[in-house]
Amino acid sequence: MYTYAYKVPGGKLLKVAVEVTDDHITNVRFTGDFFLHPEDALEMIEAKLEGIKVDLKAVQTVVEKTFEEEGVVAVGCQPRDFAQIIVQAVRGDRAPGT
Amino acid sequence: MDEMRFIDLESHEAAMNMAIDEAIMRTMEKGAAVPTLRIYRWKPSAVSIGTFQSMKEEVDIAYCQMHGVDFVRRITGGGAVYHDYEGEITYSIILPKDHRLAPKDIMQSYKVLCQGIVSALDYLGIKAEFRPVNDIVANGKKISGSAQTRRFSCLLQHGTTLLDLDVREMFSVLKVSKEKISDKMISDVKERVTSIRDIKGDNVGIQDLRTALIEGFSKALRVELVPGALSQAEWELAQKLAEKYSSDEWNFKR
Repeated sequence: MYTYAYKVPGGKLLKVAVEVTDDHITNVRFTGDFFLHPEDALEMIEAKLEGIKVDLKAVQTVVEKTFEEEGVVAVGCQPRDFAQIIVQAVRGDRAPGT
Repeated sequence: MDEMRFIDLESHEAAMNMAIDEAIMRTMEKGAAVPTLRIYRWKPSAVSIGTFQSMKEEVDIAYCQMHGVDFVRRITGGGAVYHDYEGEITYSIILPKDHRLAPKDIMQSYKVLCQGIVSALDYLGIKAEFRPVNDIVANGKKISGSAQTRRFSCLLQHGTTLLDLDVREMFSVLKVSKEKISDKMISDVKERVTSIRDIKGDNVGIQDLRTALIEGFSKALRVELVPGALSQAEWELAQKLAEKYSSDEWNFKR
């Protein structure tokens, strides 16, 4: 399992724990002090990311699509942050301050 | 001036405080509850975490259990808050989604509703201002924070206003390694967070803050607060929902 924490500049803290098999996400869990409206969207995003390749564009597309379909309003983070943090976790980046 | 039901200062366990908010929303969705403002304390003192936070990562569960501090996951996003029984009052405002005080734009609605707190602090002689997204600051330091959700065809906004701040206790409850609770860390928090007593001295009490919140919300939101209570149906629903908010399944969901 890979983990990463990222303070969105001017935004909130976003953390991820992601499991990967053969470059593809098998399980992902986001935590943090951000806001998503509606809140249920986060579980949808997590479910839809299963099976997706660990690739910035691929992940961001899935997140953006769910935002669009569910009319998600995020406060303190944006779709690209969810994608960025997964890639950084899997790449093995050290979270700032750790 | 429109009327708003006002449920005056009362104290509950963490699970019940969160259950009451949800019970009012669910009842309002059915058209059986009117716009409501409630103010309350947490007895015992408690920590609430944002709906997307990890309980295990944010809260020192062992410390809480040993010292009788409650912990609960909110239905709203945002961060972990330590609700000291002696040190803060929480408010909740629940409105139907088409209410004049519930702009569709989330940023805008925080700004509108937070004016109640700004006005309450003004009543106490404290000059404070709204700092987007969801904070109120005095002398550049945070004194109040709020969180919002839209569910059940309602808007719920709840938040805390600090009367006093026990930084050491806050760090003990939150998951900060105990060795790290240095004087430096404590002074850092005091650079960023303030309280009513920090500014106005120790003679301001809970009842003063209560009065200020009543004055502040009625003035800023231009509503007549009508003293009320939960209906029998709301109370029964709250008791049922309190079971959810006490469950590990909910609290340790993330």
